[in-house]
Amino acid sequence: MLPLFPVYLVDLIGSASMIVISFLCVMLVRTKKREDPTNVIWTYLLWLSLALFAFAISRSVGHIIKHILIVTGKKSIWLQLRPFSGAMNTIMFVLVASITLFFQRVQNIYFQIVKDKQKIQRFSEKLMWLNRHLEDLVSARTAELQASETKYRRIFEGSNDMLFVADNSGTFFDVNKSGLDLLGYQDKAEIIKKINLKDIFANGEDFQYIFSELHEKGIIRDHETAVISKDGSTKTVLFSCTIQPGQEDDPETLQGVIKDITHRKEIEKHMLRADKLASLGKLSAGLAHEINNPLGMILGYTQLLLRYEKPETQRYSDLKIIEKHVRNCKAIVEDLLNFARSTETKKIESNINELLRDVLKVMEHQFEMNGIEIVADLNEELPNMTIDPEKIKQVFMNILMNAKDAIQGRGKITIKSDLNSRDNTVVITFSDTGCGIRSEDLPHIFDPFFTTKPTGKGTGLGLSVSYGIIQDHGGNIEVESKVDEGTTFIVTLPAKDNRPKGE
Amino acid sequence: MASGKRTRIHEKSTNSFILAALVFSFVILGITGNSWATQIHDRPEGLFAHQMAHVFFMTSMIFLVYWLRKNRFVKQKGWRLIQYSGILFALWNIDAMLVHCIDEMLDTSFFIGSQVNWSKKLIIKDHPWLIIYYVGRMDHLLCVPAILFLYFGIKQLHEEGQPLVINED
Repeated sequence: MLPLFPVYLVDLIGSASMIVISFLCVMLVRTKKREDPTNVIWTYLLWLSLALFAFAISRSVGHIIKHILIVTGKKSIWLQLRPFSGAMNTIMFVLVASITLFFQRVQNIYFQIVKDKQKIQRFSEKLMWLNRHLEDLVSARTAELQASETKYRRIFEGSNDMLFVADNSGTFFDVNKSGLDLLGYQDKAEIIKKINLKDIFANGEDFQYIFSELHEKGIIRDHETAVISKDGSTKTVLFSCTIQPGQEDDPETLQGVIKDITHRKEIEKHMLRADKLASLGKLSAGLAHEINNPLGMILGYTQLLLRYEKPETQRYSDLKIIEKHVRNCKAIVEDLLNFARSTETKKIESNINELLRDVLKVMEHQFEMNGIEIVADLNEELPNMTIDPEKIKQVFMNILMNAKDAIQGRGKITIKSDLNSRDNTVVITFSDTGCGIRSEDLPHIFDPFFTTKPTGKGTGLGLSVSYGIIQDHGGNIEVESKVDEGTTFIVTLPAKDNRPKGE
Repeated sequence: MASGKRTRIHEKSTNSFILAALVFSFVILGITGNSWATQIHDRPEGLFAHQMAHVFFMTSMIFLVYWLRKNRFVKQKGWRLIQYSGILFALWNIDAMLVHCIDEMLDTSFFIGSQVNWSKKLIIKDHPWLIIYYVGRMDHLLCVPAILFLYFGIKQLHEEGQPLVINED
């Protein structure tokens, strides 16, 4: 037999303890909840504590009342209350269990809130930081943009090729300095929004082709074409352009590069001509050497035979004709050798103006007879140069003879000599008011045996020989001509000592 | 403003309705005369409902312990103590259910003396499980420590400041 009073004792003390401790729980959580009212975990713990307090009240009060009623002999009242107490306990169990099971949901909500709070806090801190440093950031960004703008502007403006931006109809928005130089304008204001791409193309069909290609493919690369500058001169260029699609408020634009290749083309042309002439020179030199000796023999024997003939005889006349034609042949052979630079060059210190005057003295009378006026504008400051005076005189004579032939009737030949201090060259210009040279003949005028003169009047070697002599002096000879307006030959010779080393 | 007033009036009427419903329920439950319900709810049904509530209570506590351990909240001392509270409450429910079951099986022949003067005694006879019943009846030895752990757990969380620390791992 076991006495039940320890059970009753534990029951009473335990019941009272349950009420007290659960109440303390409620009070503790309530304090914390007041401190941190938005925290859902404290809310959960408050609800759990309240449920456990209700459970403690329901159960413990029931137990205490039971003991009191039984001890005081009122068991019948307890029997009335018992089911009521039991039901209350059942409800409290369910209540506590239900609230407990909310833990997972509450925990998820809490984590979401914490994460959102942290995110908001981070954004808030970032916003605060941005707010504090806004002025600095704007200044830094502006400086960066300015630096970037300066850098790209420098690239844009510093480019040696023409860079442009135009609207989709071709009207210029912006052009760099090289573009202004290429098109011959001084100020951007003369071009921007005033000139269209089609206005600068020398060939309208070229523009149509480029525009259609651009709109079809969006890009065109290195298309060789010609542009006209403000002064009407034509330049050969490589045209590249892309269509930049518009964005929001920005319209579609054309952005392109125009590369001036006129000079390169000229050089290519010169090199081609030099190659051609060098080949012809080699051929001519070989041929001339072979013919020169037999011609010398023929001339020698002809002159020997002439010694024994009386001048009035038919044989004498015949031999004279042979001598004349042999001399002509020798002159041609001599020219060929000159052209091939096979003959010896004797360079001495000479003055170009002196040589020009010598030539003019010889030819003056002939020009006067033909009604041709000679105007000489010579720079007396020219330095002495190391040249072969005879050969240079031959060049001048050839050019002047061609000018005389080109002027039909009265006309004028202007001769200028000047020093180009930038290149340290002496430039001699011969301009005539003759018939000019047709553009299709221009590329061939330095070719050996090329002539537009009637048969018998020219061998076609004069300019070839001149070209060879000037090349031999390290100089250059160029020609500009317009039909019915006249021709200008520009002879450029280096002012410095041009003797080959070791001579 | 008008909307706020309407909301408060609505809340008041809802609360009054709940109160009236509760009073009505208690009155009905308090009447011990004949039942006019279409189905008779006899004594064992109340016990079954009570036992089921114990199961529900115990299950919720097991879940609470499981969640606390799964999410590693028990790294925090406060939640570790609450975990012990949950375990003890779950054990208390098992104990209470066991005692209820045994209680149903015992009649007056197992007892001697009166509860009025606390002289009542349990006759052990040849049933050793009556010892379990005797010890089990002192269930406060489980539920009081359980509520104490809850109290200390809450106190610890209170001191730590942050009730729940997110474990990133």
